[in-house]
Amino acid sequence: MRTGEKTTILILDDEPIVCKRLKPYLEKYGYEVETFTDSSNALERVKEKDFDIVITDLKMEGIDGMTFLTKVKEKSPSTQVIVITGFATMETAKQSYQKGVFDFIAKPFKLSEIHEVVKKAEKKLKQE
Amino acid sequence: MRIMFVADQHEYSAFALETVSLLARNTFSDVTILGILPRDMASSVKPGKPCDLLLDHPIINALEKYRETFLAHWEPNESPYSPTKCQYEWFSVKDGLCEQMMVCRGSIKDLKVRLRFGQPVNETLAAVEEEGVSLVVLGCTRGEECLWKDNPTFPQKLVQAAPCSVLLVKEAERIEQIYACLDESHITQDSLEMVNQMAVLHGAKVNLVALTKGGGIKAEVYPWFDEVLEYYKKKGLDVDSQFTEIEEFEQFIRNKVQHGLLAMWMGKKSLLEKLFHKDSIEHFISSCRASVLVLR
Repeated sequence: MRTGEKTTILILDDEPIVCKRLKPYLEKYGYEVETFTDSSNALERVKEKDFDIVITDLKMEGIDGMTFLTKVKEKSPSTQVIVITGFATMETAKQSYQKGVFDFIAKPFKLSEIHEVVKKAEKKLKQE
Repeated sequence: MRIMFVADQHEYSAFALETVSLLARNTFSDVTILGILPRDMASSVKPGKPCDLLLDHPIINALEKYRETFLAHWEPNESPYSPTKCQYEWFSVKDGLCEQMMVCRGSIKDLKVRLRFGQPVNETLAAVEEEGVSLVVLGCTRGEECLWKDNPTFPQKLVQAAPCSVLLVKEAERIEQIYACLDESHITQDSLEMVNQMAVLHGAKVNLVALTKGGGIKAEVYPWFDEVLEYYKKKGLDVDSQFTEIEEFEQFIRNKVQHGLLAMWMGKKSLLEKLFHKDSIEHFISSCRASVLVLR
């Protein structure tokens, strides 16, 4: 993470309303946010740019969230990945942590919950 | 998702804790177990002194037991709540004096056990707001009532006032069907997602029930109904739809929703609210022998 620069966040969720809620909320706190509803497009963007934080849904058409986060971590191990899912199971939670995600959040969530997790992820990035 | 389990020391709370534990196993949510005592008892509590030695009330032991029972639901080394992150933190022990104490927090997720003092509904609402809670869970007496022994109307008053979804746990029945009843309430994304999680948790079928009046459904409601149905189908849930007359809703609950979860959208625009005035939610919760999820 580069000192003095804005923390960059990529959000991937196939439900536009989730991106619509999160983007302005996080931008208000000074983050640089890009949103995607299509996992293939998000993956293309990840190939071009290393994001500080990635927030991704799990259950999506095409490339699913687990595959996406695996590719994100392969490309940029320092990126902190936060999983958000409307279909949480113990298995997906455990699998996510095994793949090195920073946090796993079941939907629904309050925006303040996401902000707190993002702040913790940011703190970890600064310590590394 | 952050879950708040509001509990007293009675059997139905211990029973509802099982549902909270099940939810936590699936969702890895931050969980707060909250007990509430009368405000006058707060005078016994002194900063820097152990609360459990100063307060003589059965809720103290009950909360301790709930914490142990909750944590016992996990295999060793698998719990996201196991207190492995131990570090010194500063605490105010009295005015003008801070002390460092060793605190062990959950390895991945937080389990907090808290006591508040004051009017139960107000204190719960304040805690929901402060902690950004998405779901409040509480137990209540079974059968055709839903009460707390020491404060009978607390569950119903809380359901009326809560800004988020509330799960009232009444029976030990396995939930195979969720009856999600829809009138003209505003449907939030949060409430749709809450039904998703419940369906996944129980492997349950979702029955989307549209409430009609005089055989009809309002023109503006039908697209909503269709949209919600398509949303769940697209998400791969086992979902079906049906219509029920609002005048026959109580009968519908008594006949159909005895072995499942009754989920009701309760917004400001609810037709049920208008038809049955302020008693509506209490009325239907009492009619239902199964657990009730009030969606917001």
